[in-house]
Amino acid sequence: MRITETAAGTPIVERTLDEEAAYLERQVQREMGMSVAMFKRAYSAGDLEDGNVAVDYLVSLLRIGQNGQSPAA
Amino acid sequence: MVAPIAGYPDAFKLTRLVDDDDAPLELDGTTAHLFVAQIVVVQDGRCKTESYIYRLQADASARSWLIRWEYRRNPPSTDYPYPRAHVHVNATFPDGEPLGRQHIPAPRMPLELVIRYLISDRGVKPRSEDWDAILEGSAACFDDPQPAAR
Repeated sequence: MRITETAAGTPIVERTLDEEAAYLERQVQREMGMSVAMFKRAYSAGDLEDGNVAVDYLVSLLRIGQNGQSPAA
Repeated sequence: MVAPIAGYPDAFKLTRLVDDDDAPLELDGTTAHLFVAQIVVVQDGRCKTESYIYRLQADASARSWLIRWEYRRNPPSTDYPYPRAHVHVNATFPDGEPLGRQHIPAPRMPLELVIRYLISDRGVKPRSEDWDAILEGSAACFDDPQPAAR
């Protein structure tokens, strides 16, 4: 992980692909006690409720349906 | 902090990190916290908001949430029926019906307006005397068009 700063002093955190994957796994594990893959499967199956604070956060964090990624079925 | 999203050179996440985990902001003058997570994509030289979560919490725990302003540019599921910009309020109607899981429609919300609300109604102490002008100037850059129906 590489940390630099903007001209205004805001930290810029650059992760490698592996570090990004580990960060996402850690957030999903912390919030839901499951892996990213399990979360995506459960959300796609309709087993997770939109409106739940953790689900809403993780759906955005994992960019489900965004940036050209297919929305969950 | 701002974090380029690895593997997506045009995408950036803005949030607070503590020990490389997402964390809410502490607010001066109150024990409440504000969790901010925003994903921005640069397209054609302009920043576009892909999603945001602004979550007012009674304390550092997400479970203590009070109000959540949320937005996603695209629906996350094919049968997603809710407005893509919405608010959750952790409260109940007078008849006892819980509001927390309801997606109350809302316009796209600049973070600056949330901060203004925190200062004007929630007792948050600004760190600068000219906070009003700073918020006005910053919010003027919020020019993404509002979604039409969703």
